[in-house]
Amino acid sequence: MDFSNFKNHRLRWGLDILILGLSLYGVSRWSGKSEHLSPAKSFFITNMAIIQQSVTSVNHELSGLYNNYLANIEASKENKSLLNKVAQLENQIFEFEELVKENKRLKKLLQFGKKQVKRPILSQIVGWNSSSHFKVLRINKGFKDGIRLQSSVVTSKGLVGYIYRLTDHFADVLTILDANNKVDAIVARSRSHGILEGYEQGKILMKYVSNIEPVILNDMVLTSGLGNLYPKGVRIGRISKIERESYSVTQHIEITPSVDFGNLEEVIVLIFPDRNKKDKEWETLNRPLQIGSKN
Amino acid sequence: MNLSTLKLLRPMGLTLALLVVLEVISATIFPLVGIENYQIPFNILIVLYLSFKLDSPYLALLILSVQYFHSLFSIEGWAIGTLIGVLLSRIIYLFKEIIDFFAFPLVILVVQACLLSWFIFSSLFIYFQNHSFGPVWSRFWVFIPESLIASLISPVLFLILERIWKQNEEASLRGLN
Repeated sequence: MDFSNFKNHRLRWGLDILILGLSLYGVSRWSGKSEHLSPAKSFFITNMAIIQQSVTSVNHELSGLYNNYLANIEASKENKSLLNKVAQLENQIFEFEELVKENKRLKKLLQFGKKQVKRPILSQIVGWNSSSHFKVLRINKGFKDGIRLQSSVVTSKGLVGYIYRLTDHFADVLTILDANNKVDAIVARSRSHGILEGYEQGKILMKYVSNIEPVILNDMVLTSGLGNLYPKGVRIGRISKIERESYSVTQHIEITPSVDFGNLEEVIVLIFPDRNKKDKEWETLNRPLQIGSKN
Repeated sequence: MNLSTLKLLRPMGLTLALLVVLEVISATIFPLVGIENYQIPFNILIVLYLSFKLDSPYLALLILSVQYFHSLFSIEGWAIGTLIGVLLSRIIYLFKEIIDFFAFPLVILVVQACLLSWFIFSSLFIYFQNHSFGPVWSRFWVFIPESLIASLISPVLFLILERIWKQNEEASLRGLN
């Protein structure tokens, strides 16, 4: 072995060890809950997202032209059936209005929780995670549009996820299909409590539901509001599979999400103006108790 | 191939540009045509190519930069991929003298074996993160078709990379040029 080879060999070992150490440090810092971006990474992500947004826009324009043509043909057929539906829905709205009034009266009587003011921000999906092991969407709104880390993301059909990382103009959403996303949930009918996490083939697993809880197929599952991440009562999905084993204390419950993630194009990010206050509450709760302190 | 530091910059820049194009295709165009559950791990293929074909002391730095650019499109982050990539490049370094990496079918087989090793390493991290085999199991079913397609297209990608890194004729993939 000549001297230059020996030097290269030593340099390679040195760099390998240095980068392995750096990677181990990075792995230990990775939580899977949220990520604060450095200015450099934020800059790179913004630029990459602009490329992704351009590609998505071109595709939407092209598919829009095609779909509009097809839609015009189908429109006259649908019009008749929709008119019938409108009449039915008007009746339902009247009934719901009565229920809302009743609900307001009862809530006032019970002083049931404090109403949270939320501001919706409509965003378009511009990309997906490039690794199939993470179920993440990239949207075209960011910090400058008012979005904050861990803001809830929904559609009219139900819960999508929360903001995992964001730049000034773009944000990544960790969806409820991802195993790293844990959602505190309840079954609407039986009020059974459990924790949801992403499972296989677009399904969600509801964990820690006791074997004696009377859940049945097609039960609607909602967010419980616990965990300080999602607002209470957002639809998540319906129970599509239940397995009860005699040796197990919990049930194996699979949920089909209400949101069709395959055809998702727009989402709504919910911003709670009093979020900072909530964060401070959590900081206080998470602070280790100091025995003998005046606080 | 033993390239000096400056000579590494140009092909590495081109490789990263290629990675960005492939990641945009993977993260944007594939889902738009309905393939959102399966993504081809182009970053791993590039790391494998560099590990097999490059004899540079800066290999770990190159793997880090590939993984950093990959992390712009994935929440996976750069750390896990870099850790696995550097460890795998060390293992490859030990065996690459005895592996004939120039024959078309063998490239597919070796890449498949490396992708499997990568999957096992990354699954260990997922297991430690979630304390459950559930996510690992669900990943496995996605990994099978993904890795098969990745290993099948790997000779083509390696051919492009070979043009970028301007390998000499001895090092080129036999049967492809």
